[in-house]
Amino acid sequence: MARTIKFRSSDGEVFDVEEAVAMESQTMKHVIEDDCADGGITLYNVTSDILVKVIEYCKKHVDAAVGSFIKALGGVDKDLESWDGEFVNVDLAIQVDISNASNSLNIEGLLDLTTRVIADNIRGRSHKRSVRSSTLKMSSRPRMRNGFGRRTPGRS
Amino acid sequence: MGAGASSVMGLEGEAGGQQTGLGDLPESCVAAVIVHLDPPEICRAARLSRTFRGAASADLVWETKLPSNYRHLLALASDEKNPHKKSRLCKEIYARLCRPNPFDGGTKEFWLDKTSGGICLLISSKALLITGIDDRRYWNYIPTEESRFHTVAYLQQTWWFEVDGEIDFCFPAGSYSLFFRLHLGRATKRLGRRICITEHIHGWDIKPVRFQLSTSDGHHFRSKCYLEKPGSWILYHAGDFVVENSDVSTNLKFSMKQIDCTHTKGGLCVDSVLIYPKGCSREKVFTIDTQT
Repeated sequence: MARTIKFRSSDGEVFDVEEAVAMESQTMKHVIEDDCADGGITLYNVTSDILVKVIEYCKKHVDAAVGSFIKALGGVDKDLESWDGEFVNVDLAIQVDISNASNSLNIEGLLDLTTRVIADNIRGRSHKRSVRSSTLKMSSRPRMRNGFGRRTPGRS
Repeated sequence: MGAGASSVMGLEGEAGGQQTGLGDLPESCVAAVIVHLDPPEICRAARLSRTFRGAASADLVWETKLPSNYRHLLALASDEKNPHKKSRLCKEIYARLCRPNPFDGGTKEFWLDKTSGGICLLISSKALLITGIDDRRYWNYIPTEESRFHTVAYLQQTWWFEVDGEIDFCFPAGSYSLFFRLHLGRATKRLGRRICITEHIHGWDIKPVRFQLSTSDGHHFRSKCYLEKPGSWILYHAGDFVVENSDVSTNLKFSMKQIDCTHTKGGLCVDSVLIYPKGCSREKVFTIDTQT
């Protein structure tokens, strides 16, 4: 029977996730390999609705990889690409939240997917709209002020 | 997307009613987003917020925009002036490479094209082998504001019209087109207005000029074209080539000839040879009939 890991979202919901699916996250892979996952893992910065989406992505990609000759040969799985396209066809707010979560959980494929979609969103916006939007107040959530606490390690 | 401009960065709403926006991305995430944009778009995105500005200066973003042989190009660009300072930011290196950088004693220039990431190269008439250039009865170098090198070679008349050139350069991988920048007639200013002296123009409508391009990997491109439209600078497309490996120097040999000695030809300004990434040229271009 596959081992499962308990994940707790920031709003207290608990999810049982198969180990192979959890290992899609490089961050969680290290925690699991260091035997620190036995008591469950709390993700303080990921809400339940976003965690559901992240788990869905990881599960889909794990299932697609198993027995996939195409992937083994380094080819491109068109069905999976199409599924990915539908997966990120959501509001910008959710794209940003998933991008944030995949960044902190270090899920390379999901981060690449969401950042591409957000970049497509930014691309082609007129300068006027961008300038107007830049004068708007940032979200008042204190954790995001100037990106403090979220900087890339080593950056001053 | 349907989202209004105000919802892009994130609304400041009442407690518990906030919507996530781009303003909620940390700098590392923003860098991961803008790396997918073109350099001009990255600079525009830098105006969105302080976080975007910080991410838009990150080395990890600009390093992906630099050509793979950027160290070689930077060394070439720095030969003419002071030796380059070490430990430059990638963004500064990119900006430096996007400016016209003279080399080979100022007879050639190169710069990075911001949209395609390829190299644009300019070879002045002084770096070309023009048959009879030393004979002032046929050719003269004349000063002009209409050339980036401030001088063009002007042909008064000749029987044997031949201009050859050769260059060795490490181009970033991609497809490129080579052009000759020519002008029928001699442009000058009279009372502040540009006029074109056409008295020497003759012989170009009898036989076409033949263009040739050969590359070091064995490709040859031959074409021919009648020179037309006096009074305008025209780019005559001489051929295309593809660079597979940016670490290997590409040798190009190119020429244009009209050596039918039954008639003279003259009244032509030869400015330069241009090499642009394919699809990138901005001036008027003449496409040519290619010979089989």
